[in-house]
Amino acid sequence: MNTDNFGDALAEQPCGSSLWRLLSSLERLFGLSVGQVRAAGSPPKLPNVCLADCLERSPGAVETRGCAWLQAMLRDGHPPALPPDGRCQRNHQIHVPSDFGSGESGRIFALRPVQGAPPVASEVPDHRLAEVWDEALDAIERLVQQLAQREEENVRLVDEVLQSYEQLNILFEVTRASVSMSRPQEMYDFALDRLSTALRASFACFLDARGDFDRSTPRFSQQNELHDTYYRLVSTEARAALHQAITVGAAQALEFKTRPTRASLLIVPLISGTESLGAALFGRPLTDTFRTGDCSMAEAVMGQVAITAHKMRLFQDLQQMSFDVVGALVNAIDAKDDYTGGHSDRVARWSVMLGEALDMGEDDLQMLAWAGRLHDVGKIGVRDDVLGKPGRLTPEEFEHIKLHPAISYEVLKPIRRLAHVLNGVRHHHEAWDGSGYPDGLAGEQIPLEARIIQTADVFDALTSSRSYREAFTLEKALDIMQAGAGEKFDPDLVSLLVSMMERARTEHPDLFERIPQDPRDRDVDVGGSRP
Amino acid sequence: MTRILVAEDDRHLQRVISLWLERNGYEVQCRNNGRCALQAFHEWCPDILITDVNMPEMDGVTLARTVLAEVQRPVGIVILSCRVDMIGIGVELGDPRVIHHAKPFSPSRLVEELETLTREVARLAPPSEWSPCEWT
Repeated sequence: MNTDNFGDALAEQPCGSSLWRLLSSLERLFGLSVGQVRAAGSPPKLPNVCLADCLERSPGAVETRGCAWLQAMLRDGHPPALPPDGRCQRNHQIHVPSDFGSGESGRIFALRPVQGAPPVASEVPDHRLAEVWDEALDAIERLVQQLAQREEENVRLVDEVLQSYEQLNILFEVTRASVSMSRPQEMYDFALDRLSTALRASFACFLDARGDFDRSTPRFSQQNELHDTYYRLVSTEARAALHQAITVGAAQALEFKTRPTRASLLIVPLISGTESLGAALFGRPLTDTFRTGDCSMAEAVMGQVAITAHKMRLFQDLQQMSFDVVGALVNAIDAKDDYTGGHSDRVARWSVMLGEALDMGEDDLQMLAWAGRLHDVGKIGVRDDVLGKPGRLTPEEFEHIKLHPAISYEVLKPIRRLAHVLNGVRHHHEAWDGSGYPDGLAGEQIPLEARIIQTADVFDALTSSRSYREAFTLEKALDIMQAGAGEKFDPDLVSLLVSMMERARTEHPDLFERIPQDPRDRDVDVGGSRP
Repeated sequence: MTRILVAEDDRHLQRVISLWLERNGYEVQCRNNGRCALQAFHEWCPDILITDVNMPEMDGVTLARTVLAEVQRPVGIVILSCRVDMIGIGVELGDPRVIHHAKPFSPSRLVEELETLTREVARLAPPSEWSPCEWT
């Protein structure tokens, strides 16, 4: 039998169809139906072309019904003794390899109708016929084996491609998410969650740089008892190996085979630059160990995450530091004037509350918080004897103190990152009717943020004790503001402040603790209130 | 067996998706553009459509709209795209059975999403055993 053509066909065709071509050629040329014996219960060697499939797809499908020999063959996985005439009950000539042992799987056998089939190599003398059949079956068997190998390789390649897609997808998502995420923790949670799914992990968690459970990070496990197993494993048997892996800094798949802590682990150290940030740990049952592809996927993703998270942390630190520096500056001002202790922070909070009530965006609220804290920075340039003077100020002193918004502006102007707060700071003493300072703006000429800070500033000043008067009660302070609405203050903002008092009281009770609650109608000259 | 029709003009991706879905027990057919996919939708009656957006002849969004308008039985649709503007496509088309899956696709998540979608489609399917396709 010439098998060269089949070889060519195999080179060109995907597995399933080349086997089909092989089978139909055998059928057409020799009237042969070919089958493969599999051991009972063994997984199919050719996922798409197992025996049943061969039989179905073969043009002259081998019909097992009514054929005890074939049924026994399929049931037992080896051919029973041949019938005396070498024919099965359905009058097919049976050909099996002469060295076909019991229980042997993967062997090829052939059936050929006794009548109506084309003659097989009629020039072959009878005594050589068995030999020719052996050769032919051997050749077919080799081809099927080749096909099986190719199919296995195909499956492996497909696995690799799928894993690459998975990896690409996670990397894309991590990159996209890093734009919108601001906390390293969010980033870690996200990556751990996505990798757990992609790796089919039954357990996932973070370890700190010493190899201990990082209790601040989430853990995923499908079952609680599993969770305990992994927990025990990490804290006892696997401890040294995990620590070692973190020190070396390379992803590693580990297997632990002693009961009761049998599992396979994948540890992926998190490294940014030279700093170890701990490791991500994934667990799977021992029957499903982690492979090289899993390692490289987890390493690629976690590598990206570690670097991004590290940068986020640096950014957070810098942000915190600038906030603290501003805090120090504000404290310096507050220390200059005993009576304004905490004033700047409260103005910031009330301003943000007003901003929230106006549905302002996150960026604008941030700006209000900064502007609120910094609005009085210019008092650094106001003389101490004026700032702390009990009683009424002389006109000259009043003119002096009125310089502070403009000074605030000049102090903050060089700080590029604070450019967005300058308007609010400079104009927080403008008046609705244009009688304010430093620029005499009126109505909506005054930037909204400045009007907000002014509203918060006046409200906090009225409800605080000063060197020249006692604090007003909440009711009195609001009365005073309502009286000045449309004259000194933005009437809409004053109404807004009044309407949000109840909510503010529930959400920020500490702001109310220092405001005198009992209405004490004291007759104080409002005009004497100072900036 | 749940039938999935894949409309995707990249042959390699088509093959990877169909191999993966077959391995997860779905019956899969592939088409190279929206027009062929629409025809297959009527002839083969799939339960779920997975479609790319940018394709020759008919794009994925037009295909999805047409399927929603023309097909009476409940179907699930997965829009496969790397375009950020496609993320809200389910809301835009006003149908919870239209979901977006980002490219490069995630094999593990696609299968999870398909399971959910299959359940959703089955929940909305008419109680009778036959599908209208069997009568055509």
